[in-house]
Amino acid sequence: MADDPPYNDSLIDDALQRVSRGETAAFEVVLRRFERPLRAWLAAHVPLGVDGDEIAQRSFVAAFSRLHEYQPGTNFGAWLFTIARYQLRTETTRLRRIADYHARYGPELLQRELDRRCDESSEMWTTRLEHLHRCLDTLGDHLRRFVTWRYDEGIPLDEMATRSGRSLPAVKKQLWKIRQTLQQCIETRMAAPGGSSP
Amino acid sequence: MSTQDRFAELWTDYLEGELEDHGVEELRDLLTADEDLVKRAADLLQTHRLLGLVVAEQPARQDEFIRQTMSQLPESQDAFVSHVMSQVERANGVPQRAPNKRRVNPNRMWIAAALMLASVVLLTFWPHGQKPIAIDQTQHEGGGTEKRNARLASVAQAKFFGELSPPVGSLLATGREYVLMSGLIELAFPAGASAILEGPAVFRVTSSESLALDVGRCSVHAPDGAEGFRVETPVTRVIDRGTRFTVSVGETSDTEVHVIEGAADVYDVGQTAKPSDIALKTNDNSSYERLTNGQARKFVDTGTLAVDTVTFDASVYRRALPDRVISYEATTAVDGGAEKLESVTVQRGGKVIKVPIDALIAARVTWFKAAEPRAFLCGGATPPTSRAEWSSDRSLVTGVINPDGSLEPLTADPVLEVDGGTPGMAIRFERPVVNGPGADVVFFDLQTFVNPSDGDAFHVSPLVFHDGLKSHTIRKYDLTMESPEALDLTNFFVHFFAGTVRSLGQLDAGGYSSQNQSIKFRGLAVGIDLSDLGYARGDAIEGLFIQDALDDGHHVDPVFIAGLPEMK
Repeated sequence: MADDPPYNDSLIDDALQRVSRGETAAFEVVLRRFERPLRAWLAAHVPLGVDGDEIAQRSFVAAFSRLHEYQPGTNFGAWLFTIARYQLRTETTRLRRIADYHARYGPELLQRELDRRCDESSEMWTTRLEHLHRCLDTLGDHLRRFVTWRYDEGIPLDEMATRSGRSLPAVKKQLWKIRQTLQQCIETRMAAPGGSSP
Repeated sequence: MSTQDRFAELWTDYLEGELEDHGVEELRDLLTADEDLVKRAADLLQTHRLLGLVVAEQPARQDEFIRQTMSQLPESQDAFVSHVMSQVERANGVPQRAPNKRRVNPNRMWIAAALMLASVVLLTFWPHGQKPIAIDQTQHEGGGTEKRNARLASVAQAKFFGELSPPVGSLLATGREYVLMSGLIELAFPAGASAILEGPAVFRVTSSESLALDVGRCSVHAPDGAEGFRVETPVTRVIDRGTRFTVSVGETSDTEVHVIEGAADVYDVGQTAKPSDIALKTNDNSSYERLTNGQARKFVDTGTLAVDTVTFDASVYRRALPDRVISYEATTAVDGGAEKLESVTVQRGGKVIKVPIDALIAARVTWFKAAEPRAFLCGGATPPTSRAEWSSDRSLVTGVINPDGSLEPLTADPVLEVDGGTPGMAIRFERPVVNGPGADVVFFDLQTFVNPSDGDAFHVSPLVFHDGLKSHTIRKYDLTMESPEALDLTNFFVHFFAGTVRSLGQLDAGGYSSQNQSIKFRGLAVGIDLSDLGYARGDAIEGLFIQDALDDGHHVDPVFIAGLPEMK
């Protein structure tokens, strides 16, 4: 085990140098360092109906392929996010040109609001993700199971209704309340002193 | 019903994919009429997306994301350009912009044009293109592809150029070039033939019953029913006739064939255009050379195919991958990481066996010395009173770590005294370990991505030397950071000591500060063969001495060491 704290800038630079020398496997160090913040930021901003992880992978591949354009010693994270923003913009542009995209996937106003938020700091979304983890811990088991069913197991609503012994409308109402509760919990934590710092 | 209540209904249906066209229209109207509702919808949508990501943050799913991304990395800039060009074509004229907003330099336009031309050439004339390292098996459930593709049957310390090894059991993409830098892999073909490739080797699976070997060595076994299996080299086509044989291709494409059992026919690839031609010519003695049991030939392309007789060497044929730790199983902690070892699967004497934890012979640290203050313990938030206990439990994240070492391995008994003691650590087994075939001791090391990917090198020595005994150095683990079988570990604490530790008493008494590890570690594993230390088959040993090899700034972190039970 190394004595140095992991993932400081020098380690990332070292990994990038190894990648530049042809050691592709070293890129995994970069992936491990930036996977979480990039996926969180993209999850919050990708267009409706688009898989954020696909854009994240595309961004990492583009960064790998254009590594010769990166200037060692500068902020690699910022450079990576610039690429991700470009990938996101390209995807948004492509979708806008599909005639019935918004008819199929939802209101354009909502997409515009998401676009407007793209300038928010990427660090903030890592913080929000961490708050969400903690907020989930505060949910009782009877509510947490709905989150597991919906987001982990991906089971249909009628199956949730059967499992919980509730009606379908009651299950929908429960999901709405859980999302509201978690949303409020995140906002409260973000507003607390130091709560918006990563 | 209030607007808010209606929004709640519509929004929930929207997220659940149950909103019909008229509902989308109604939702759009609500949002158009109320700007605050748009912000609220965006907030809720983003939280909904983050909830999906929370689930995806389980270590196994994170790992899947990493592996998928690594497998998508192009091998070269050209490959990336051709990929981009294919996307450009697919996007049907959507303008592509560079991510940085530099002014367009006219010279860059020419370079871009050249790249585009190059990529068009690549797309037109490059027959294989870039394919994934392995085929996603979920695409083939119920389909026939699985029956047509070769499968990666096993790996031993395999390292591929520019990419991770595919998982054992995955199907290899037909036509894709694989560059095995080191280690060994075994491929299983649908009709029953198997091929063991030794790195360095460049190869392609060309069909369900053929393999192209551009450079390197492969040992083929084609049992009854798999006759006709082919190995194609740059100068020959070797057709199996029910046999075991080895094909070695040198850098200048010269090809050596050694037939161990049965027979193999060797054709001049320049004279035989298509594999189908071969079947027509099998009775034409002039068009091929048949080699039988115990024969070897070397084929060199000198304009025509020259054939030399070479000394037959049965040892070039590899019947199996080396004995090693193949995989292990562990309990899953609440964070999804592996925690307590449950079993180890090893190959010993060519036989694959799964050893449950209860059958392993536990070991405990009985001596420890490190001259520099470092982290000497890992595990929970608070170490036990007798801190060396962490070395003997079944957890993969507890242990006495970072012992000192030596550049040169021991040649005499280690000194186990506070004054003048030998740097390193001694372990004793709860009962003697008997030297059998292959690995006799399993050794687990925790490692992260900023550490050496092959594992921390260490020396292992007898506690008591006598004639014939020696130290052995392990520099590459059986399961490395690149092995899909090395599991992500659960989170743990590292305890940093303020002073040096020259005995277990000092380890128990030393002050420390604790740090919760925030990055993921994996459990690497290697088997230690007591024969490598000079012990005779059947010798029983009570303990070993471990030293870091001091080959870099990282020290070995043993978290689980145990003897394997005697093989019956």
